[in-house]
Amino acid sequence: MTDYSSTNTLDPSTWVDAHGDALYRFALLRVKDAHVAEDLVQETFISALEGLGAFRGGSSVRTWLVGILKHKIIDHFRKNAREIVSSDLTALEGETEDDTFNRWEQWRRSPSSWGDSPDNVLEDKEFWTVFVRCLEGLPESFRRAFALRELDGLHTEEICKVLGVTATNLWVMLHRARGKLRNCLEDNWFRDTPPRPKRRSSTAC
Amino acid sequence: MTCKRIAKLLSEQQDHGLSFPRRLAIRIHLTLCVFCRRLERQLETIRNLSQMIGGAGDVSMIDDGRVFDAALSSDAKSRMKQLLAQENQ
Repeated sequence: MTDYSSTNTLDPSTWVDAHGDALYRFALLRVKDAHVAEDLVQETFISALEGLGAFRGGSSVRTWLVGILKHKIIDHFRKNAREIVSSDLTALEGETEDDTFNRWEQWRRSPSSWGDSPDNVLEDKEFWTVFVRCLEGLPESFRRAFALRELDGLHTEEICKVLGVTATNLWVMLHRARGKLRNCLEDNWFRDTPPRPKRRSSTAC
Repeated sequence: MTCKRIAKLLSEQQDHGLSFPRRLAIRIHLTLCVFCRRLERQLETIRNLSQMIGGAGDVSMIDDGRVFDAALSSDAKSRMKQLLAQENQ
């Protein structure tokens, strides 16, 4: 097998081996559906080929391809955003309160201490599997909002335009996404019993 | 202010600037409430972790498949290669 990992060539026949998996992972983290992620990667390659003449070489081929893919993902998010968002928001209204707070609005699922820094999880593949699964578990529109805000670091104004929502709605969606993600991470990683031998034991407070 | 209300503001503070009275209300509440203090740190952790895996402009963490090893199927790869070759002619 040829090692293409450092390939920075404009020869399109090398792209799939050199960048295909990284682009696929980038897409899969954001769109959840494997077929959609695959299609987006394919469309990215085709667009890149068409725009090859415009590539100035100011950045690496990888960065250039990721930039194209980002636009493809945003276009995908724009499609039927309105329907998805309104159905998720309606579901939210009908949802009986989750068990995070009691009826006096005090903590029922009180946050545990996750430790000083997440350094110990960075290289832990198991942790990232949990993280990705928790992301996938979010309702579609919340996941889109969260991905654009936290994975891509877009400003809320831009996200409102993509998803066709008001700022107030977006804040609610992000609040719910963070809350659900927090609960999921806490249940599946940070508050495991028995404690994982790999991790430093956390002192209960 | 209740913990539920503070939780919402702690999230919103990551998305837009809060008024001075609200920021003050949060600070006062946090000095008294260990759980909401933890929540604030958890939200920061979630943000940092998300940026790491998302790349927020780059693909660093998932570049080499070390922590997230999803990969294209060989079928998909050969299909894409074929397509690229066709289009490139």
